[in-house]
This record gives sequence, structure tokens and C-alpha cells, in this order.
Amino acid sequence: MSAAGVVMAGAPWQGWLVLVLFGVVLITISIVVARKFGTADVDGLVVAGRSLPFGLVAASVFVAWVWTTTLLGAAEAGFQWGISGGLNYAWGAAFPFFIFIPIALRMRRVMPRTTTFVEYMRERFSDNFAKVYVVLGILLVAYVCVEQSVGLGYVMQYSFGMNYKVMAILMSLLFASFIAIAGLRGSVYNSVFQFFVIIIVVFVAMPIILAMLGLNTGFAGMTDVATNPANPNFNPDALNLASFAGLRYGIVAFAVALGQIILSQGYYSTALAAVNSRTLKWAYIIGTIFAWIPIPIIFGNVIGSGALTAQLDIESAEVVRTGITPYIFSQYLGLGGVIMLAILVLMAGLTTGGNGLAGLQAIFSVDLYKKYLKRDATEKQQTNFGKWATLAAGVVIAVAAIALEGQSLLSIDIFSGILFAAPCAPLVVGLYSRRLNVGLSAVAVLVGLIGGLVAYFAIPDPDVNFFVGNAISLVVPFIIILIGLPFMKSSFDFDKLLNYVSEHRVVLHEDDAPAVVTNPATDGGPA
Amino acid sequence: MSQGMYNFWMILPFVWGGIGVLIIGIACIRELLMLARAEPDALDSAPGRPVREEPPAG
Repeated sequence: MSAAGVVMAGAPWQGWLVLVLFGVVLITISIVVARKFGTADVDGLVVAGRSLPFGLVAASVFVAWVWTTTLLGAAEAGFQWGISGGLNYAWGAAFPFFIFIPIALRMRRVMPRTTTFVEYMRERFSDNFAKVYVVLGILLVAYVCVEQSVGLGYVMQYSFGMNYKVMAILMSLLFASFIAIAGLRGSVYNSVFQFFVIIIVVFVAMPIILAMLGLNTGFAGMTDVATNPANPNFNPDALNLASFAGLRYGIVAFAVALGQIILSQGYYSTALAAVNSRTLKWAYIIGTIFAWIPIPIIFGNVIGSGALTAQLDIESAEVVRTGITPYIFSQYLGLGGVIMLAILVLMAGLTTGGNGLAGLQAIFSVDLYKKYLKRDATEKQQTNFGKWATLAAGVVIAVAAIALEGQSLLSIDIFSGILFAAPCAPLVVGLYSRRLNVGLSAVAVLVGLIGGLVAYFAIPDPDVNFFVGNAISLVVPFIIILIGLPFMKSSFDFDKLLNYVSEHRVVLHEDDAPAVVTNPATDGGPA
Repeated sequence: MSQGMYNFWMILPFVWGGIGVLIIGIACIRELLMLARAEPDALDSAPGRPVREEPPAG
């Protein structure tokens, strides 16, 4: 059976209705938030005044990590690797948060007045080394946002027959607009709305599909896939949760996701926006482990089982594997299912793009403008620059998304894993080790990056080179640093971070403030 | 994998995820209600927690 040509599509006017309805809601939320809280001060714009409570932070983290690929990619993994596909996608993409959460907590403790991870890199290592991370941070956000715009453009095209170029432009401008209007706080409040839309669709549509599929039918279909060589999707590991191929996929997902989280300012901004460390910790734990991890498992299990039971022959289909999700929604829920899926993917893409741009706004306002463009800028000028730069970024993202029409994003994904995994090690180890210096860090990153690229190009097997390239890029810098540390004579003074004073007004909550502050500038501040 | 284990693995993520989104959903509604009741202090910072405003460097 082919997946092509069997997916129902809505009319363009229905797509416009969905877009206008949700667009108006999201922009309205941002305008209301901007009026209520104001956006004139840098801390308020980029880290929501470091004052958000648990629920808002958890919802924001949850929706920011629900990508288009969390839904469509996990379903594809379930189809390809069987019952282990969704699980391996889930742990691979979620495990980096086990690394990020201690990093974010540690950063709040050792450098309580930082706003961006670039500020930390500048103070911990050097200005030039931090510039590399400015570029990487911008590239990462650009990659994330372009991927969302491309995905959203395709979804609107496939679901409603709308023009890809027009949709890619509108989507980019939509998430750029609500971030430009109200900054991170606008992103967070929009996330709450999007959180409810996403969970309603997931926890209503997916149980219905599972009930219609039937557990007995699903198990029989999967058993056939695992035992019948004549089945077009024959896979002896289809019912094996510990499938090695699935595990390898999970490890690659981990390497790719680690860089996307560790170098994404959006996650630092959300972490710093939490009112205190306890809120940060629990919001990230509940938002990722409890709420997020089951989502790709649900999509891998239900869509994967449904497509395998239907014996879809993807190899002969015009629609690639990602088309199995609209196929299943269409088959089981009709046109309403297609519209629900389009709304779900729309929310997932907009929140991820918005969170990424909120991080970019922080880097623009705090690191680029004040540090390198206008040293004497007022906070008002900084926030204005951040807003206009965010809108400009939206235009650039739209142009890039149009340029990528018809292109596979797979190669970009591969390079994103290799490029962004290598620089993680200095950032992580530098938070804990006094001995790590910029020289050893630079060598480790370069060797890891070059090693990853060489492995990717030198290994002819396309199923192996991706895995080895990402693994080398991620692991080698950590190994070089850990081996080199005992030989380093440098000893970094962490008081430099503790006493760091931001160039904009910062509001600290008492339980996060250090017990002893030796910098007169901060001690002299109003109590 | 047995039929029983398959059934368990298909249903578990709905229960697991349901608990997670319920916790977040209730917290969000509670916090938004505080906002609606014009309690921005309760919404935007832990109640009663003192804060220290710090001036910019220089």
C-alpha cells in the first residue's frame, strides 16, 4: 500500500482560517503581555525579569522541545525500528537535559548575574573564545528556526494545498513578531496557550487512533512484521525494546540534541527566567521527563504500529516516511484529523522557533549591541535593537526557508550534530574545573570537530558515518580535556564569575544570590 | 514481547505523560488565575520572597 495519494487535504481557505485564528491569538497574547509587563528593560525582555513560576517555565520547556520532528520523526522511528523506535528517540533527545539541568543550576550558582551563556564564556575564558560561541549560538538558532519554517511550510502545503513560499515567509514572520513584541515573556505566555492546544490534540486524537487500531490488531500486525519475511517491512526486532539498531539511533539522537540544547540561548534564558533554582530544577524535570518523554513514545508506538499493521510499503511511495503520520491521522480521523495534525505541528513549530528567537534576542541585546556595537547604549536602546534585530532575523529565516524548498534537511541535521556537539565540552567542564584554560579548550574543540568531519567523509557506509562522526565530535573534546587537565598549571578564580556585574540592571532573588558578595558595585545597590 | 507487555507499553506513555501534563496544566491554570485576579507579585515571584535589585556595572 502506498502512502501517497491517500492522505486527505483540506481546502486552502481552511488553512488560512487556522493560520489567521492562531496568528491573531498569539500576537494578541504578546501585545497584552507587553502592555502589562513592559519591555523597556533588558532583563525584563530577555529573561522575563528572572521571576517566572513553575507552571509557566515547565510549559515553556515542554513546548520548546516539542519539535516537528518530535511528532513526525518519532513516528518515522517507530515505523523503521518498531516498538523501540519511539523509546530510543525519546531517551536520546531527552537525556541531554540531564546534563543541561545541572549546568543551568551550576551557572546560576557560580555566576548569578549572567544573562547569556556567551557572557559566561567571555568571563570564564576570553573575549575571542566567546565570539566563537556568539557565532555558534546565532548559527544554531538560525538552523533551528529555518528547520521549523521549512517544516511548517511543508505542513501547510500538504495539509491545505497552500503555497510553500508564502507559508514559509508568514511562519517566520509570525514567530519573529511575537518575540519582537514581548520578548521571552511573550514566548512563555504563548507557550502556555500552545501547551494546552498540543496536549488536547495529543491526548484526545492519539487514544482515539489507538482504540480504533485495537491493541490486539496492533500486536498481530507487529508480530507479522517481526516473523513474516514476506511482510514488506519485515524486521525481526519490531517487537524488541532492546533493538541494537534502535539503540544506535538513540545515541545519534543524543549527540545531535546535546548541542542543540547546550548551545541554545533559549534554554538558558528560560532557565534564568525561573524565579529560583528550585523552580528551575523541578520545571525542567517535570517538563522533560514527565511531560515530554512520553510524547515521542506515543507517536512512535501508535503511528509506527498503525503504519506497520497497515503494511505500508514506503519504499514504493512518493511520500517519504514522515508522510506516515498524516496518512494515519487521515485514515483514522478523516479530514478533521488532518486539520488537527496541522494545528499540532503548527503549534510545535511556532513554539520552537519562538523560543530559539527569544534566545537570539538575548544574544543580540546583551552580547552584540552593548559589547561590540554601542558601548554606551541605554537599556531602552538595547531592547529596541533586540526587537528590530529579531524581526530582521525573521526575514533572514524566511529567505533561507524559501531557498531550501525541495531540499532534504538531512544533511543539515548531520552537520548540525557534528558542528554543535564539539563546542559543548569546554562550556560544561569550565563550570567545574579551575584548571581548564582557553588553549586546551580550543584544541579539544578543533580536534573533535575535525575528527567528526573526517570520520563522516572517510567512512563510506552512510549508516555508520553519521553515527561515528557525531560520536567523535561529542566525545573526543571531553576526552582531550579530561586527559589534559592534570597537566594544566592555570587556576581560574571563580570569584570572578561570582562577582560579575552585568551591564544592565539585574534583579536577583535572595535564595539564588551568593552569601558573600565582594564587589562594591553590587553591595552598594538598593536592598 | 508478549501481548500483555505490548499492551502495557502502548498504554504506559499515556498515563505517564498524562501525569506530567496534569501537573503542569494545573500549575499553569493556578498561575494564570493569579494573574487574572491581579496578583502579579504572586505570579511573577514567589510570595513574600525579598528581592535585591542590582544596578548595572559602572
